[in-house]
Amino acid sequence: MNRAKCIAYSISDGWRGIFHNLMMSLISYSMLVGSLLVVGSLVMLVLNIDSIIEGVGDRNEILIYVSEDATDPELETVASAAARITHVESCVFVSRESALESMKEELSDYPSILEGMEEDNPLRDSFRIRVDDPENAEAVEKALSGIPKVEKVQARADVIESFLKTRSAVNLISIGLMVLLGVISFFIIMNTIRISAYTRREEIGIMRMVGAEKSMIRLSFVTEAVIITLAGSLTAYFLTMLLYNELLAKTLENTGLLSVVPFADNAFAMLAAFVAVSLVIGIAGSLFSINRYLRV
Amino acid sequence: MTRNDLEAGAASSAPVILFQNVEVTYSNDVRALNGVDLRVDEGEFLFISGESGAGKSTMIKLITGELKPTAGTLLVNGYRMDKLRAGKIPALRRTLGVVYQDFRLIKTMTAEENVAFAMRVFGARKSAIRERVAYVMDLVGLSGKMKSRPTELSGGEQQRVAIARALVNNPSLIIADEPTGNLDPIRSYEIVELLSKINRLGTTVVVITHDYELLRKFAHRVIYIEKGNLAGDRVLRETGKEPGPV
Ligand SMILES: Nc1ncnc2c1ncn2[C@@H]1O[C@H](COP(=O)(O)OP(=O)(O)O)[C@@H](O)[C@H]1O
Ligand SMILES: [Mg+2]
Repeated sequence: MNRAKCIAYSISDGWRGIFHNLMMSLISYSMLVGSLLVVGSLVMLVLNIDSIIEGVGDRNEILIYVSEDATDPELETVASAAARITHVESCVFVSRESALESMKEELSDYPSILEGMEEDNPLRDSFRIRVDDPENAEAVEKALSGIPKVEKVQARADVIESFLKTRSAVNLISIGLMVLLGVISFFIIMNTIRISAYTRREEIGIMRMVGAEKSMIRLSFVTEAVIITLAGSLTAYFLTMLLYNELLAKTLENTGLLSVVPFADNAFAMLAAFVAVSLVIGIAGSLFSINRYLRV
Repeated sequence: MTRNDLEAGAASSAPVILFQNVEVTYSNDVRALNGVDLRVDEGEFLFISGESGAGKSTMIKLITGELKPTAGTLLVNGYRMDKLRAGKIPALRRTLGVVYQDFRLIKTMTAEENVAFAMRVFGARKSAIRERVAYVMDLVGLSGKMKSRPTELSGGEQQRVAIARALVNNPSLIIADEPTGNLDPIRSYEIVELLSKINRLGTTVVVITHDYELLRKFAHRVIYIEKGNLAGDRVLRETGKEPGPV
């Protein structure tokens, strides 16, 4: 008995199995492509939300904008009043000029937005207040809004909070969907292999009769399943990339000022995860369904 | 070879099959074999006969490892079947060729592919397969039907394909469970004639049949199974002599 040739035979047998049973193979394949595409898109969404959260800054920060007519001594007063509030760690002045500068830097890719701003700076002088703990931000906000000449208090925590809420909702939905789609894909693969094994049950019986090893028969069905799931995961990977780059990223870029996370940043991790998932589903699904045909 | 020869230990070689006080009780408490002793030596041709339900197929299942004896010891081609681990069964089966009443051919494959299949699952080389398949197909007289599918073959021809498949891996023992059960008397005779020819070429052959006509026509050793017991064991040398329990 030639082990290597045996393995080669089992693998080519698995390949043939796909076409024996083409309809079911295509259904499993499409199901897996669809599932992974949804999962992949959700993952990209989460990554973008994360990057937005990072971009917005940390949650210990509160911005206050001072009214346009405030004089320099008044600005001094605001600064010292803000610094005296408990839980305030620091208070940094950001002039309207320097605010414009940093905005220019951030938006260097969209010079059109900044047109005319040099001549007529729409920004205000502001203070960047650091709070010792985000927990205390609310109290500090209240105290800050009581200071004269303070026109607007903007806690970044609010913005971030809402992003974080969105993010955990998306995360929850993603995880739920992943599990659901994973389970569905698993059962579809299982069924495909079960049907394949059923249509070939005579062949399996004869293989057992002439003394084929169970492992070789298993290998042939595992091959069949893994080819389907692997093809599905690779297709889903490329579709996710295409969908993201051509649709999602372009839309986001066009509508907002958000910098979109490039697909390439996470491409390898996603590919690896897709392949791993497809292998697990393919191997486990086929092994589960083939055993009952191997009893003789 | 007569029973007396056996008892005298005439066979110097190890037995191909040795049942010692073998019992089989199925899970539904049916006692299919009730302490059977049987020795089959290399090169023998043995008929197993008996009424339906007597326990004949159970003996085949024991030999192929589909079933383990409830008690007793059983040796097949050097394997201790009563102690055989499941993982060793494929290796044992590769030393056997099995033929069934219903042929068990794969309908989507040609005769040639059906036979080659049994070699391909072991990863045999293509050239070796081609050569060996041609040889066994010629041996069973089906050289001209290599490309025919089972549905295009008569029952007798299908059984010949099954025999070719059983032979293709050059087993030392061929067992056939009612190989003529679905065939008319002339085809039945031809099949047993073919198995006898294979036996003359050196393979040990065990054939189950309850066709007394065949037992009469072939002068091979016959054992009778009756309600799970070995009821008779004799050699018919003269055709036409009425066989039956001793
Ligand atoms: N898998 C099984 N489970 C329970 N009883 C069985 C099974 N196979 C056979 N039997 C019983 O064992 C006895 C012997 O059966 P079998 O060996 O098939 O007889 P034969 O081949 O001589 O007709 C019969 O009574 C049959 O009903
Ligand atoms: Mg029977």
